[in-house]
Amino acid sequence: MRFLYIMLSSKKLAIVLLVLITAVYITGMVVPQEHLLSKNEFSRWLAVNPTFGPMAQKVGLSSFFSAWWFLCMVSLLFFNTLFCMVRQGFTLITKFKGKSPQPVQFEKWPHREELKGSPAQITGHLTKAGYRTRVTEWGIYAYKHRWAQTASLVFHLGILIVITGGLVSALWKTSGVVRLTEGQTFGGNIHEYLQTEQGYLAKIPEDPFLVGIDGVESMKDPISGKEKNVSQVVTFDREGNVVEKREVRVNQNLSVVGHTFYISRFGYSPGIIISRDGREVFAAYAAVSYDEGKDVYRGDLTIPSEEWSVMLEYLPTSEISVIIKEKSSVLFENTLKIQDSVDNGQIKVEYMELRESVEFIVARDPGVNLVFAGGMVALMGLVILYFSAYRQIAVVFKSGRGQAMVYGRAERFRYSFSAELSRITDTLKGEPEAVKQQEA
Amino acid sequence: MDLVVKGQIISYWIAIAFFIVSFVFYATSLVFRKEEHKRVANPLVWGGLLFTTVALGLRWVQVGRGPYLDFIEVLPGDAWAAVIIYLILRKVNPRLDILGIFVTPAAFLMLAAALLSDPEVKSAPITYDTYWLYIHIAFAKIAYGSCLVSAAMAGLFLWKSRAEARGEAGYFVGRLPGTPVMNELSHRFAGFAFIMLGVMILTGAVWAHKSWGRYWGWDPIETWALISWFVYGIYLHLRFTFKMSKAWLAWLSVFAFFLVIFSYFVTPYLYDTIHEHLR
Repeated sequence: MRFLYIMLSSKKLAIVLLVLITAVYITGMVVPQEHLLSKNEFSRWLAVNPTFGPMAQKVGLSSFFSAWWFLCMVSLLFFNTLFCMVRQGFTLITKFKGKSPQPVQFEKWPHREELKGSPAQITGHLTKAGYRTRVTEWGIYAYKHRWAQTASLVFHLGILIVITGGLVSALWKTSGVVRLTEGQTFGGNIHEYLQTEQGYLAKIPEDPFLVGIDGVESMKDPISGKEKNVSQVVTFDREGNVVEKREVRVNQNLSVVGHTFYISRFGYSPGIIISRDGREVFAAYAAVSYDEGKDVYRGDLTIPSEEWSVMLEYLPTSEISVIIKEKSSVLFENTLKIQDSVDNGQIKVEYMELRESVEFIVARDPGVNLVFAGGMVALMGLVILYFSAYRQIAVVFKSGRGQAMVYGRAERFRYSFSAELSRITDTLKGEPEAVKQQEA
Repeated sequence: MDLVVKGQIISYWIAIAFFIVSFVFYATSLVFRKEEHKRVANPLVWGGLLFTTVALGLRWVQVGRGPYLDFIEVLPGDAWAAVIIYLILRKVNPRLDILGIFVTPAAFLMLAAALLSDPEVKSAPITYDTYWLYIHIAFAKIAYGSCLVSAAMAGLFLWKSRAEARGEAGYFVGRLPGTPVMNELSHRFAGFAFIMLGVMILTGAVWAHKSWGRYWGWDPIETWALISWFVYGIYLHLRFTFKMSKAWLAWLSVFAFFLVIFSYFVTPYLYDTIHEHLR
């Protein structure tokens, strides 16, 4: 048990783990990651690397952050940090409870200077420099920033909170996508409308509520004329009562019933009907979203029953361009106005109406606050660590005539401590008259 | 608008002229060992900074947002931050004014490269429409500047300590502060960079959470920034806990800086990333 404690609280282990985790990150950035590529791109990479590819996939190098061995390393780092903190905590408690250091220890302190001055004068100068002083049997003991010794503990505590938050997110975060069309209101249980990669979102509150959007307004960049943001009013209605009604934009999300709604896409929903030889094969609101890179509104849909792919593009005059392909051959290509109906003999497309629409990412992440709180705690620890260091000064009087030896040590930044110590002693040396008066 | 564009170009050229002239004076002060030349060069850096600020301000007016997209905006921003950090450093330790011989050519080369790059005004992605962007970028600039200073100090420390060990300390090396000072400054700036990188990552996480509903997405630049932060963390642990040799630490500081440069300038070209500052 003791061996385990010593091993887990070893700082050398911490360094080894940090180096290993960094090496894994770098490797993960060299080996293509599944989450960064589309399925086709990843399959292509596997085909190009027939030996290494499957091997990397098998050991989890192509999705390292969810690989079991990587999670083991992070867990080990978590416990290592925890045990290091416990060990350091015990050391600190002993230090805080301990008495003032004894002269025999001072020989090991790195800074020393000779000085002449009365105890009162030296104490005065040390107090002025921000030191707390204590008169002892051998002279004066002074210290400052004693609490700075806890900075490292505070920082590592923050890191532990961040890792815990990350774990909570990984285990309990739920997120999905919902597309709302202007003026449309969803009724009943929202389970039916939140589709996730795994199917339908399951952890939404049980009580049904209604979601509606209205007043969609896109904002243009005055310089480039491109879309800059989009705003809409979202209403949440539960049992006839409006729970929340607020304007939502990109970066200005909406938290309601324990979930946060983020705009992921916005655009239009043209209501279209597609028929083949007089038989209706598609009749719904299609999704046409804003493509930032190309500054156009586009959307694709597939009609599996016919093995068709349909490409839609919204044009600024409220027209839509429709291209229907079967494999690589184009079956239909035309531009339609609202309420137009075009029949090419084989396929008939009717463009019924146009509504604005928005796609939300709906997420519930119980770990996020922990992560941010942990980050703040860690930064606080770092700031304390950086801007202050525990400093000790011992003044040992050699005789009753004001001859003294000054010893000092600092936990960090010894160079600036040495400069501070020199400043204090120089000031004292520059006051011979005052010293004499004090002695008198 | 034409006037704003012309004003920008003229300001950049004047800034470049200031930096070139100050570089010439730094160089002659070193070659001919004339201290008074440095006294001429020092205020000229302020002139260069002033005109870079004016040019960046005019670009801000022209594009209607902060200058943070593409080389034409990013490089002058970096030059501006580097000069500011140099001036702060010079204030802290006047003997470091000689570093102007590195900073001024770096500044005028960055400005010249910006002038040669595509001047087209590009609109910012929609998710950039937030004040978190400015906070994130401000901390990134401070962090990268600190990494640069830490690495520069580490490099000079290595140079001076080797020259001293061989007994070959020339005029330039002699003019530098002592090795303990440079060593201290190197790790102080590394510590500061570690904090600033931490704030940069945290503010980026807050912004990502507000935009996409997730605070971390293993985006390549996110991951490379985390790698840089880890390397600085390892550096500080080795320094404070294991008292590793100063020369090794200096090399590590230089390596960490190259990692930072890689994550900032190279990764946008290697990966598909949501960070679009150079695309």
